[in-house]
Amino acid sequence: MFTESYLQLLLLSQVIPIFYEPKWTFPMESAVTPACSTGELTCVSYLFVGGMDAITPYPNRDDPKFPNKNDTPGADSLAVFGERGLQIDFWDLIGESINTSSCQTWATQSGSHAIILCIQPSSIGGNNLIACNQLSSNFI
Amino acid sequence: MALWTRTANTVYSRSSENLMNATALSSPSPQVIAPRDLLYTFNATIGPTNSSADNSIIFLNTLFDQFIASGDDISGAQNYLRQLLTFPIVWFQPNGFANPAADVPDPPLPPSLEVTAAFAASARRSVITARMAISYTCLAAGIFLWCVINSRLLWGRRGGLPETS
Repeated sequence: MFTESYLQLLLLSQVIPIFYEPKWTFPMESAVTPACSTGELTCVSYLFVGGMDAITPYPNRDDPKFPNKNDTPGADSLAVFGERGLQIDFWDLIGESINTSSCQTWATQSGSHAIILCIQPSSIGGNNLIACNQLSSNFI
Repeated sequence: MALWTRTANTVYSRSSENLMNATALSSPSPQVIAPRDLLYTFNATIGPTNSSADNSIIFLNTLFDQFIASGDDISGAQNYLRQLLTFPIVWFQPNGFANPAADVPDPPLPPSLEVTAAFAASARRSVITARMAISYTCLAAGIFLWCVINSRLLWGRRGGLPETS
């Protein structure tokens, strides 16, 4: 459906701004993970929603078939009711270790650069994941 | 990290399309993602292991250096990992690649993603927290009582009548 080069371009352009994207990232004042609310963990949390351009029909579309800017000149905002989002809580890794069998390595053909990414379920349980990564240039 | 799905009433600016507020958040529902699914999306994005995905790998190394150079070593490295992990979770959603030119959702979406929306005019207003309202009321009541008590004491010392000549 999407080529590898398209997905690579998406990765390169979206990793940097993903926490600071004003169109669909909302920093949360409090996390919902139970261990965060008890003070056991220091957490940061973000809510990610779709953004206006993920709504169909596109609300700012200039099309007489749909309400548009010309119909509502004084309305400078769009209120969306019941928009589904994804809240992600992050915390520092404390007292847990990563099993190396959870890791995957990607390396350049010359071996000059590599990235190792490890992801595994947390021993805290539930829907928690723990992860770590290691990067290496001059990997040889 | 932990993932939760929840709904909210969101408000966007129509000019900048920026998300201005999210209120009336629903109770969170745990979202379970298997580590292998996340790794699968990285395989699709970076390239399968041992394939020629050199550009992505070199870029991710360069990006890591930028995060480290940006300031605090720990938060820089942590933010790099967190943003890297967030990318597939956010983008590989049913509406992650929606077609904005379509009249109806393309591809079709589940009913749980249907929303209602309304155009609105925004207005600025000040909102204080409940704690501040209670603190202010208690402080104002305390000052008022202090004034009343002191005036009564002064009134008593002077015999209840003002001095006249």
